[in-house]
Amino acid sequence: MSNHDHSDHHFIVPARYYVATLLSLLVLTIITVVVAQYNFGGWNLPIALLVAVIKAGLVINIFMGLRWNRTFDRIAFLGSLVFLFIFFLFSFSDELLRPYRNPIEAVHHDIKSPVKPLVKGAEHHE
Amino acid sequence: MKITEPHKEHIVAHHFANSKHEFDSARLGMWIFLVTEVLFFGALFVAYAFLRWSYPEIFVEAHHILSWKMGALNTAILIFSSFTMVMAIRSAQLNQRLKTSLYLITTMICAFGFLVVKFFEYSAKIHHGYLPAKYFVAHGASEYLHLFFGLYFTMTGLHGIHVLVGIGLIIWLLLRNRKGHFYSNYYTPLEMVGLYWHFVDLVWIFLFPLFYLVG
Repeated sequence: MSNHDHSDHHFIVPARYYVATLLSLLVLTIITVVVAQYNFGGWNLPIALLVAVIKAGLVINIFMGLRWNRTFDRIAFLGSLVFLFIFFLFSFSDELLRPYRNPIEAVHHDIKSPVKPLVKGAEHHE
Repeated sequence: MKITEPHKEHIVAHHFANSKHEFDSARLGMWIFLVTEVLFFGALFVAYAFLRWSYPEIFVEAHHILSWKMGALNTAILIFSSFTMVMAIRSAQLNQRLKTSLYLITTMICAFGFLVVKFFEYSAKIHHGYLPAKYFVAHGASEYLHLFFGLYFTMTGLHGIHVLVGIGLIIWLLLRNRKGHFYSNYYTPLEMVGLYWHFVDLVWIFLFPLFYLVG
């Protein structure tokens, strides 16, 4: 066994941090629901995502305790976000740089159109 | 519950220098597992972005079909369960064994509550024929609404499976806590399941606005 004293190496987070985080998350949920009742056009998605990112930051830093974890844990987790960004970047650069935008127009490229309902009478009527 | 019984002393595995070394290694491993989970769900979020880009109208229509009240209720349930999970870990750090169990049981009840709400949502969708891809039999205004429900059931279903796994893990923690395995100097499994559980909460934090709120 080691010579180090390892009886108190765990940092115990004061309960008020957890209570404050819980309340903040619930308030942010209410905010995002209320905001969604109004139409901001193209801003609907960015606003909803911004609130979700703030909530995610609270969960990761306080509940998961990443801010009190070792630097290496933080690097590992941030790495996932970097690779997720690359995933989005490459997928969308591919999509946006194609000669056609709408898959329906792709028929003359002899590319299969998206799956359609096979059930009779399932076509839209309205 | 036999709370007066002394805890079982944890023996540090021989390949670790001390319990801190062991704990930090386990936590790093857990973070790396969560990285793979981020990319796992990430693929589906890319699919979401792609579908939204190609067929924005199906998201507007589906927005009126999904009940945001159910979604908001489930969001609150999961956030609260994350809170009870950290409190369970904190109680173990303070050697409060009974409290640890009570917080874990609360977390588990929340997890079941989430699944019950999900069950009512799913049965309403299935009843109206809002099924994925070729099983879609409802009358939607937009031609590609079946694609939305394909994505909806895949993403929320995968998330639901994670909740089920979480329930299994919490039961395992409860059984171990009952045997007195966790105390101030050893609560590694609690911390690891906690990280997993918060990750499940995290995924829902993004699923809720993207499916239920933004039309």
